[in-house]
Amino acid sequence: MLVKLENVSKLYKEGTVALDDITLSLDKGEFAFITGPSGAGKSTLLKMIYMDEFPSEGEVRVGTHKSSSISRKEIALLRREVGVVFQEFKLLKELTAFENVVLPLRAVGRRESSIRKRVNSVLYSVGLSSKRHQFPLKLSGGEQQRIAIARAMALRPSILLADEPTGNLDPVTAEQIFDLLVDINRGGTSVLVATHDIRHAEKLGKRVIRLEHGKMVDDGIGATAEGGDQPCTT
Amino acid sequence: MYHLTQAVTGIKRAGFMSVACIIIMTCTLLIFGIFLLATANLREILRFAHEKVEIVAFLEDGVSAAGADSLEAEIKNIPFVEQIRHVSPTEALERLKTEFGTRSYILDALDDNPLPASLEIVLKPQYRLKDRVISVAERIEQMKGVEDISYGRGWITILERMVRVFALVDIAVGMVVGIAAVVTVSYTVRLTLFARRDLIRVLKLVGATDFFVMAPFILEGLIHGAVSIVLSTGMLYLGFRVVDVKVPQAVFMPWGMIVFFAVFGILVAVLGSWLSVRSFLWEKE
Repeated sequence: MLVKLENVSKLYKEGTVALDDITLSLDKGEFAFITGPSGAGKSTLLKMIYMDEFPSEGEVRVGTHKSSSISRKEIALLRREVGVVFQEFKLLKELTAFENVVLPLRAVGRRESSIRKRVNSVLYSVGLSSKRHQFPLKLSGGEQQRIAIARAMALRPSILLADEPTGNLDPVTAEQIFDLLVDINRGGTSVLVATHDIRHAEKLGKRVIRLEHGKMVDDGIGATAEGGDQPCTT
Repeated sequence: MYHLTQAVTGIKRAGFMSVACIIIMTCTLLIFGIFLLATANLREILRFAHEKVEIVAFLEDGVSAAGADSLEAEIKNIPFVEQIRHVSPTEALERLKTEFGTRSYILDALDDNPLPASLEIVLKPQYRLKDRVISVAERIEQMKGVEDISYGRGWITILERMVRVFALVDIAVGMVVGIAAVVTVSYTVRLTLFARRDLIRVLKLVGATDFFVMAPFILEGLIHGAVSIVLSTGMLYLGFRVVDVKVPQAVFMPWGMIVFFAVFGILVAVLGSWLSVRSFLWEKE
């Protein structure tokens, strides 16, 4: 079991319940979607996995790391095994595509020669070799998301978390990003995508975990998952 | 190298604030440096005074030459004594005449030489401390044939007390300067932290340790501290050279004190950056 959430609840100080008694697990090599309307707790659930937030109750386990006992240093180590991409890409605009992807490798102390090799390889795998010296603002939304994915994959994580990765993209580009995520999953990396758009989940026939008001209301394979929002048509 | 590049970038980005930080730190360190310099000079005066310390044992009237010799031998047995010189009444009068200079004729009016014979006792350098001098003087005072002793107790006590007071003032000024420098650096580094919050956030997300994230900011503080130390030490030296022309006996801070001053300046700067970056990283979680 790669990721396991046991009776996880998250209650914020102002009284908002973000997650309510969630129990689920994700296996190695699995591809799953977390869906639900805005405010359902999708992002909070992902934050629990990369331990940016901690449960008010229950426990999250990622590999050998446990939310109940993890130290600050271990969080850094955990994040080397968990790649994260976001809707707004979170790229550093003053750095080129190449330099953005270098960051995780440099943060773990890789040698310059191996950094260059790995960055070129991962940029090639997302189809952006030719634009490695471009700055993010010179690239399209889809290309920026590809750089963000390349950065998240630079350290060959066991799992890739994607928080609304296509939220800012047109349908065609979104399709390409999902294809890329599927390719990554075929390479053995588990992928967990939070999205309010279940169209892709249904199309891909992958597992869908549905949240509403912080509660898990369904967990099944694509089309069998009940309910869901209208497909995103933007 | 990555950390150093990031630190230099941070300083360049902070621009005016970095310059202001270095100016404020230089001024505060300069104040501390002036006190340290004063202490160094006071210590030099005390060292000079200790070099001149000697005990004079005035002999009773009627102590024969043989008696004086045996007394001298007895004093020589005291392990701290380096040298003894016997001064006869005649020699004492000659010295007094020399000191009186052109007014020495006053002494010619004396029928008899009223000055007693004396023994001038010099202690070994390492024992020329107030307490040791007092203990030896009291021992000599008890000896038969010694009428009185003199060893400049008063001014040695005052000088040693002044050095102690200055050391306390140094500590107090050091603390105030330290706090001022810590606050100054911490505010400057905080600006850089704020400007680079996206980078910090990304680094944390991709598995950078706290040390990796903090290192460039700590280096930034260290650079501020080092530049301020060089400037304040340079200004102190220039100021010293101006004073030195009028007071040639003045001394600059000894190397040990310069090293202490540099380490102090760098440490407070590093502490300022560390506190700032630590609170920034912690409060974001």
